[in-house]
Amino acid sequence: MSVEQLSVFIENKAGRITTVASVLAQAGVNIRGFSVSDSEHFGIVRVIADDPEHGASALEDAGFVVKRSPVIVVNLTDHPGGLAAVLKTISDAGIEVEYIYSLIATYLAFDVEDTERATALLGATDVSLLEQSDLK
Amino acid sequence: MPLHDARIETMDREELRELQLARLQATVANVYENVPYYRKKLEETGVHPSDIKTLEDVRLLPFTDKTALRDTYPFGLFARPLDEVVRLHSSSGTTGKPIVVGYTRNDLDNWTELTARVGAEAGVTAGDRIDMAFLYGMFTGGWGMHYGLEHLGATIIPAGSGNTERHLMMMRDFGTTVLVSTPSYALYLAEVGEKNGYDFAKLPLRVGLFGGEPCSGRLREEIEERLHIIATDNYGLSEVNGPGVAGECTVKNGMHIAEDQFLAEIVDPETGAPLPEGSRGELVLTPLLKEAFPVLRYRTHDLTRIHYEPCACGRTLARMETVRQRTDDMLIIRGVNVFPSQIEDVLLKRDGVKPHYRIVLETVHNLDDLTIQLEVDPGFFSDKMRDMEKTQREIAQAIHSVLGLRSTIQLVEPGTLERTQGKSKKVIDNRIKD
Repeated sequence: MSVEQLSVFIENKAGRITTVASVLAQAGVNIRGFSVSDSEHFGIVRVIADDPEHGASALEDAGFVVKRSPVIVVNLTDHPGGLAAVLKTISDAGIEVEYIYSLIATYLAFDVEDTERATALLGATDVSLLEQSDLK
Repeated sequence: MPLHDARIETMDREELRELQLARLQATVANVYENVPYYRKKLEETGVHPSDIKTLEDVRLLPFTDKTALRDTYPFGLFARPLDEVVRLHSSSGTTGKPIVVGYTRNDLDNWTELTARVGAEAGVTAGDRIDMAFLYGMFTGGWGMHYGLEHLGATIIPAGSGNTERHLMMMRDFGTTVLVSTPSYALYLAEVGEKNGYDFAKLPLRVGLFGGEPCSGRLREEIEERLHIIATDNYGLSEVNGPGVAGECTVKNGMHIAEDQFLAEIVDPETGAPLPEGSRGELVLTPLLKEAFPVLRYRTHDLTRIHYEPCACGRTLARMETVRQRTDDMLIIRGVNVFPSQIEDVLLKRDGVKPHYRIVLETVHNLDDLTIQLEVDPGFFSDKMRDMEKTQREIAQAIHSVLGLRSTIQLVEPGTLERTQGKSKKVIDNRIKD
């Protein structure tokens, strides 16, 4: 059992992640989870979507290089030790974890250049901003 | 592979040398009589046309460099009045005044013969349908190939450059069998075609005639695989004629020089001294039949080697190796001599890497800084940052081991580096000049 992930190469230029998200939006593809890893000049956007096939072709048509690969997706039990148990199963078998990120992108953690300003900007929209206490 | 002109193409070398000598003597007489620039040059060096008694006496003649062609703009080197000139062509003049060349009726006929030969060498026959994806206009490439291939009886589709989707549509609907273009355009055509669902394995396209820019072995293989064709190389330059100076036969063992129309020498690029047979050096060409625009010993700046042994195809005409390096595209980076083709070779050696790259030079802290921008291709893209960084590191290491230079490998999104339909611009030199 596995889920198909789309990986997209982007240059570290303003608006590239936005473009990836917009291409998927225009194609009617719903993003169910994503992560971005970056180096000095480029990044890799990883996306899990409801329709990876359609998502991949929309991104390719928009000129992106897309790689489709299988990933494991688990539904953790939401209590202390839930993540540790899953990781232990894998690491005890000597299997290396390449990367992990969480899905159902309703709670998103951002690290931005200017936290204060971005917070103010987002606060003025209809998204809800969370505080530490909301995660208890 | 049929010979277009069996008498010339299989001529005994001694006989060929006699023919060349007679034509060289006539050419020297032509410039002496009709081009004041050469008259003056020859008088200065104390050489009279009657001094040319053997083929080796060509070495008594002065070289001609591009500067002379620019300085005499537009018609200063013409050996015939414009009344006798039936065609003009010109270089783009991007680096100064353009170079204007002219042709008499005979010049055009001889040129047609040359490009017909290039076509026949690649196996083109009257049955072929040819997509001319070369620039027409002032550039010699389009018109030069056009007349020769038409002379063979093939059907010419003079599509010119640009509008790639139309090229593909006609290729499919007209049953095109031959593509005439630059190698970079052929690759671009493959890219656009694949994206639009064309299956080149099923199209009748079978041969490519590529010229106008250098073509590495790997690039050629890639074009052959993706377009399902045999790719052949041809060589020419407007200053001495245009396309048709040399063309590759299907043995693919170098390009046969049209020695009946050009005298080829290999010289030391620095001293101009003749180099022994088989040496690698700068190609110097003297057209032997040109009426309107004869030049003496034109310095091509192209580095190559000439082989004189007869070819397996039956032709005795000498073969020149594909030009991968030019004396004037040599870069000096931190004191190291670098040819862009050396960098291309390193890149193309890696699996999945396509020749979509650009060399960018800058001055950082008073030192030369080398960055190689490379488009990411599905062939080597990985979802793992580690793999991508490893690719960058390994390319940089390979560059270092070949050139002894540190470089930054900058991965960029596909399609972001300029695709030109003529000669592609692979080097951006932004270094501060003293």
